[in-house]
Amino acid sequence: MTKAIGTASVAAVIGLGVYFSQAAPGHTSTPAGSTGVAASVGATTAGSGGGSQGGQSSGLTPPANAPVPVQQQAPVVSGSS
Amino acid sequence: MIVVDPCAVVLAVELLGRELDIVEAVASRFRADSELNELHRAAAMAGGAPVPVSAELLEAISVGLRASRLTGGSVDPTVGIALCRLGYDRDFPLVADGVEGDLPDPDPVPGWRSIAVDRYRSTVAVPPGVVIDLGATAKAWAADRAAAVIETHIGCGVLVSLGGDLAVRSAPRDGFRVGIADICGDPAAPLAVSVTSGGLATSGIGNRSWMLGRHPVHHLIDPGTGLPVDTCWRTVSVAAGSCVDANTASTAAMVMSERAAAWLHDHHLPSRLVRNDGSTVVVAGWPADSDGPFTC
Repeated sequence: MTKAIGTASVAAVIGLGVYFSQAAPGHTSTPAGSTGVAASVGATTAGSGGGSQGGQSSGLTPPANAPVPVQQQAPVVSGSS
Repeated sequence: MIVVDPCAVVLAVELLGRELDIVEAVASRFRADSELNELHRAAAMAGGAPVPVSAELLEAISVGLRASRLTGGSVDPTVGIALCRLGYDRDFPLVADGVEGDLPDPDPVPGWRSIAVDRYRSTVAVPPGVVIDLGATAKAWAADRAAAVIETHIGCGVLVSLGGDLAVRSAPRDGFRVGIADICGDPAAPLAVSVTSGGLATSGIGNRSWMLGRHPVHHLIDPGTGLPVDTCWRTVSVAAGSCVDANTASTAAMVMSERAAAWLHDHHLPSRLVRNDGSTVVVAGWPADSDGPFTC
């Protein structure tokens, strides 16, 4: 499916003469048949720098478990900064 | 930062410092020598043609564009010029006491779709005059990166907190205890939760606001107007599978205003939203404030 999207998008690029923005692996500006290369580039980036857990997923990922209330003092505080 | 193995603190601090140096060198809008600003200069000279970038900057921008795509444009990395027009063209401590100027007229930002990323060629195309600001995602991205590196190299559980954006890896069974407050680090945080995985982030306007002439402004930009968003929320805290996703969602919720609670619910993201009058809304399994008592 990703390869088909990439192929169709390359065809659209050629037809319209413009670049599409890309926010996920395998989308646009990727020559047909090279999705595997793009994926491995992404994978290499993630491996070398720790990467971003959500950086490659196609949607916002819920947590494995919702936060649960605690009564003890918390050493770390999440707030706006 | 918290590491489960106390013997690993020194190495963890070193690894965290290295990751922060990398992210700042790559993504800072305020460092003239950052790769992001080099991209802006090169893009201007190239007339918007694709410019080769490092794998790190490619990833940072891709994370920002992904946030835009998944939030319908509520989070947008092309807000750089809008922020500059509001006086936020330098490090925040230099802006906090106020800057001279008048509130600009509404002017939509160029839009995330104007940025083109080519992962195969490792290039980014930026139209001349567009200034990328990765403030909505870079800090959370750095937290995720640092937590992953520390877990991989040290092999123990870790919580990395960068300005209130938290990334968790290999948490102990009962999780890490985290206070929830309007302002990061507030010792009077009204409640606390346990986080066992992923990320948690809180967005708000209380800590990063300043006076532009006689006008109070803040850093959360409505992409449709290029002006500070007029939102019904004082803060929004979101838990997600990663810190990037949590911060993407919390920032988007502030911009979405009244639409935020339904949107977070639909995406199954446990969230606590605090209205400007102090009343709260919780969705998708976030514990109600009455599930206390909490002491912090």
